[in-house]
Amino acid sequence: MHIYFKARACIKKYEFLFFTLIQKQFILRYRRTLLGYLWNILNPLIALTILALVFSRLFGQDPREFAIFLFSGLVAFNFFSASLSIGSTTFLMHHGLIDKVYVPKILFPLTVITSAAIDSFLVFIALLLVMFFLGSPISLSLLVLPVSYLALIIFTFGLTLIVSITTVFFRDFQQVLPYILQSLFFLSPILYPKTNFTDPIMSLILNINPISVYVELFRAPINEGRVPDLVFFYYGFSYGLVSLAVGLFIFLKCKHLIICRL
Amino acid sequence: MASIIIKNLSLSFDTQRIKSNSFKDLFDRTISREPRQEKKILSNISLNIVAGDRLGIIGHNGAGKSTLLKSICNIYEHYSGSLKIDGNIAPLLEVGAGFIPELTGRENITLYCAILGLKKNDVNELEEEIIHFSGLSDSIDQPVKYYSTGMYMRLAFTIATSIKPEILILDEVFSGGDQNFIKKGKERLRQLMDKAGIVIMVSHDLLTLSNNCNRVILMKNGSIMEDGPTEKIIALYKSEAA
Repeated sequence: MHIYFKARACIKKYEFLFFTLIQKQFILRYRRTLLGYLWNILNPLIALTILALVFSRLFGQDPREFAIFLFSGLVAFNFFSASLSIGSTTFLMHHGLIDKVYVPKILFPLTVITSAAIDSFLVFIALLLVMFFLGSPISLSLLVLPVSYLALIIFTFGLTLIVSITTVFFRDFQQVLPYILQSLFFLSPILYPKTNFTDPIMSLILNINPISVYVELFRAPINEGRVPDLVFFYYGFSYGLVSLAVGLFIFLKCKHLIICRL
Repeated sequence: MASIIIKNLSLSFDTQRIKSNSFKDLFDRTISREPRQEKKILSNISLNIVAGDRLGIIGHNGAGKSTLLKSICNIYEHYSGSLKIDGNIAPLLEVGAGFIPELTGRENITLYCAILGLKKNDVNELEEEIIHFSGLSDSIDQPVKYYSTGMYMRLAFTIATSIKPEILILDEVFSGGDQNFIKKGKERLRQLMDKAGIVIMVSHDLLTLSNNCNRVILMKNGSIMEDGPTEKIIALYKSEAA
């Protein structure tokens, strides 16, 4: 009970700082650009177009169909990768602040994941309109997406916590992370369906890779207009809770040492 | 009532790791089997500060003054011993170090106030007052990276002194800023100090200390050497330096 009241008082005290930090991130990113926030939607749209044009030819598929297929996987992966890469530098970036005044450390990864979620959601809405135009099925199963998002956010938040701490203690990790993310991109069924591989090693990787689950949670409703099998939700939330538990454990163990390693 | 109770507070940093964390050094350290080198910055500090105290801290560079302040502000959390604080703290450490250069003065006001734990409504109220006192109404919507040192300092000082904490912590506040502003600022600081329950200040300016403090501690190599009334400790410090 005591902890609950303490946590509530803490949230109340830092609520405004939390929103200010999120707002600040948005302001800083697009200040002085001509298109402003529009870049947030243009960037993934351009990347998607390039990937769709090249790989639809390679796989001999209709570019429009392939674009929808690709988009459904990229929604999940882009959110995941953006959170991790921004999360890995968040403590280094806010060094000046942390060194000056007490702020609950968990506020920084929380800010990262929240702004990434807002970004992702806005892009998602905008691009979904494009996808409808390209012939994506419009069905009630799209209503399941908030649940897909929730599972993905829990999973990503756990890893963001780990990554944010890891970079503080091992700066090399900042250099390694892009390669990890790139490998994950190719080892997840984003550019291709999971069933494309008959090679045992590849299918094993695709089966144990948690990203596959989240891709499926987005792909079924967006690309195929159906609700994903329940088992994927089960896996999605299980991976999520494990990641969150491990992330919180590591974070709470190390958070008071962040300041001496910055 | 505001109070600070510190018991046997010690704090050390692992100096080797801060210097370098490469595999080579890690290897060297493992091979040579040297014990981990921990540099003790604070050792066994015990201090009771009660409401009404105006505490000055003096000592040579590297004596641990700022580290002690940062521990009191809960910025360093890896200490041993115990630290109990009643009352809300506003730290004024290295004024302005938390500004984000890309943001405008106005946006930095909001951010800074939020960091110090204020609510949205309070910030709106304070904003005009801050802009007025700092005399920056012409440039408040420019990014602070275009500010001169003096402007920067004026804004930082005004923001930091515009909230009214129970425990006020000051670390060498006036560096930069013109005479005019320093005079104005000292007056403002005095008002703020009158309202605060506890004031702790670090300064090399002994005159400021004797004007404002009723108690001074002298620190040396991370420990408190002397603790007593202002004039006595300052005289001691002077005789030691001579």
